[in-house]
Amino acid sequence: MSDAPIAELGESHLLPEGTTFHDITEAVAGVTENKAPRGWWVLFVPSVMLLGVMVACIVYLLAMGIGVWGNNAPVYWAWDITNFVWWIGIGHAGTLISAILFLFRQKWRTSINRFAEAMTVFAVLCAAMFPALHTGRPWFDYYLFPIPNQMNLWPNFKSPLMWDVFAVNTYLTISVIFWYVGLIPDLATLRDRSSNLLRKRIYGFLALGWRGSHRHWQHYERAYLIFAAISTPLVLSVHSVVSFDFATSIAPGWHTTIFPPYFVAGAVFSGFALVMTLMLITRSVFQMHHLVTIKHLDLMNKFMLGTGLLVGYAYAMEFFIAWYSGNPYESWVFLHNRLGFGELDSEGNWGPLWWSYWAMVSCNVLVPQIFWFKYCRTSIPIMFVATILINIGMWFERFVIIVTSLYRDFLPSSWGDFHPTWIDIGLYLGTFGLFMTLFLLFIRWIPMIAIAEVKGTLPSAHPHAAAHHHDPSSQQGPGHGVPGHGAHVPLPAE
Amino acid sequence: MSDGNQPNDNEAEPDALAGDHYGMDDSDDDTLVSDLPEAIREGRLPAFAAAAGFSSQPAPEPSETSPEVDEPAAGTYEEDSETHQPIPALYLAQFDTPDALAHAAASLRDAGYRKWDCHTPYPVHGLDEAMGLRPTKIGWIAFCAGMVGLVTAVLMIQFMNNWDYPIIVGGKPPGAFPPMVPIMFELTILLTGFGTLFGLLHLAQLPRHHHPIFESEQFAAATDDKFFISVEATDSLFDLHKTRDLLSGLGPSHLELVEVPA
Repeated sequence: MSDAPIAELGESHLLPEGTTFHDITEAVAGVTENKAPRGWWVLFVPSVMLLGVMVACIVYLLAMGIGVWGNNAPVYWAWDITNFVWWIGIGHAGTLISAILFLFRQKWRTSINRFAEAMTVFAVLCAAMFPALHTGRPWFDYYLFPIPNQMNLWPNFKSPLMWDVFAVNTYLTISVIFWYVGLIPDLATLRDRSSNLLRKRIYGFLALGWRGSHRHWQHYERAYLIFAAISTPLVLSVHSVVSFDFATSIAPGWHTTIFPPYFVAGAVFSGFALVMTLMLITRSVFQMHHLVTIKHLDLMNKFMLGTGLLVGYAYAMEFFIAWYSGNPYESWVFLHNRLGFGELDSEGNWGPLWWSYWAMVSCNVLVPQIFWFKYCRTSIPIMFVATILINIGMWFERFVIIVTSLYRDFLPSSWGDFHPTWIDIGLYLGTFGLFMTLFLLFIRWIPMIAIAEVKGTLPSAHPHAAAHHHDPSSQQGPGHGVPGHGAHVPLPAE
Repeated sequence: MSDGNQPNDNEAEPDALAGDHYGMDDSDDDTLVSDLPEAIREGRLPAFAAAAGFSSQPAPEPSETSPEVDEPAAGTYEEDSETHQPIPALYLAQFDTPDALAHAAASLRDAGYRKWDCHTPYPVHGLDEAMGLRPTKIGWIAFCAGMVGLVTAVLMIQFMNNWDYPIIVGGKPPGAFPPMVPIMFELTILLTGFGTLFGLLHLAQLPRHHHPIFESEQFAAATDDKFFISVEATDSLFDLHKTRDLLSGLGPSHLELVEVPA
């Protein structure tokens, strides 16, 4: 029983003992075959309505121009870029769970990775919408791509905004491919369980004729490993490139070398929080308590505690550098614009957006500290509230970075304030409609848990003494048994 | 296949649906074979197009069914077929545990079979060795595609920003190296991803929606909780009796000869 948990190390079963392969198939595939529970409709109807709000806002925006947003001098980037960075960050947890935890052989990820990958794809779609609209005339967005256009101009590849175009589009493409490749065996499972011809054709078409052949699995596992291996630096690069949008400029508060790791840690942090929020809802709506167990949630909460500490460190380090650099503009941005300390400005105000900084710190640094306590890590209501607070905090982080760096400029004569309009608000809320609609359709029609991968984590999943050249030492360690174990090409004979 | 959700075997054999993958390639369902558009039967359209319901012409009227299993409708599949005897395609042995599967796989490997395969609901570790497979080449495909991406990025940027329309931005030389790095990286990743995807599809010869193994109703369990070994009739060692004896000696929980209509 080499895959069995090692009690001496404090390991325990991920799934309840006695879970069979068929149980997993039934539990996951059943969701797509049975009638939708009432909870699904309760979520789906408002989501579609919110999606309608988004569409209405976009139509209005396209008709009127982006002057309908609250952006104005000196705050030319506001909610649109805040939302873009926030949504992109949300997506990062998905890749982290599917790729980085895979490379680290964390087999607990199998219950949540499909989920998180879907979230990545949908979040990146929501994110990409904002810069596309922010160009002002989105019908000319093809200027961003290196294709010949009527102006006979090529893109300027020295612009970080151009890097963003490549990073985000690559990220979206690779995420979709990774997700789909992971889905193929599970779509085959749905195909083989189909009770009517329509399902059989649709799932059959999408499953590409997968027949579980080991000769295929061999390539498949290696392909999966390659996807994980390229997605890991990709996900780190995407938020680094997003941070270059700020860091390569010379605006105080933005021109900081800590931004790439700081943004990546924040992205993972917020993404984990949203995965948790959605998972807690889905788990209770679809009764998935035996597949997504308290143990999974406990591990996720530990992860959020860790990334929350990283983010807190970055906040502190920004202040340290603002002081240590001796740059008065940098200190002004941090003390006055963000904290609300320092001299009064010409209108007799402290920095009027000081509260957004404190909202960010309380949600992102103080709230996750509760996860030091096992009670909080295993209490569903507490973690549910905490994850929502963390997402609010992470939205404020981007708002703080963008707006409070801009609204009190070098010259008091060019100072201004930012007030969101209804279109700002409607568009942001509307993206939740888009995200949730796609997400609910996903959990209804696509296996939301990676059936094949979870099966591979069962203690009885792999032969024990069968293969002649089996290396028993390779079975040790908590990570063994991660499905899609790409490195399992034939080992040299002992 | 214009009959939508009402395949002809619905009334007769409701239980058969569990093993009926595409509703059209069941060996015991000759009417559905006859439903295939001419183009597919003649191999002009890939079978997966039919599986998805894309038919190039309206389906012909189903012929009268004969209830006998494995008896193709006369003249509907191959006009020149004299005997209408089904053709053995493969032996399919079902095992209940991965241990039994791995033992059986090692036996087949040692017996010298080449065109055989294991079918499992998830990747079973140790089967590479048990089947005697060589390492996959997909890594090389991915690597080459990635290098193409890298070179493409360099050439593209140098052509566009340095040669065709030089732009000086921020006082940097038009062909400066550092600003190229993010795009070199992203294009490398992008093309590695495409290379891996298409490499996988190429090596696995997918999509392939029509395969004799789907004729077996038992085989639906291969994506659920059963483990299968298939030995194809095209293997040089394949022999209806010897192969059957070998497989049945390995203790399968089910053994069948999968046939395709003549």
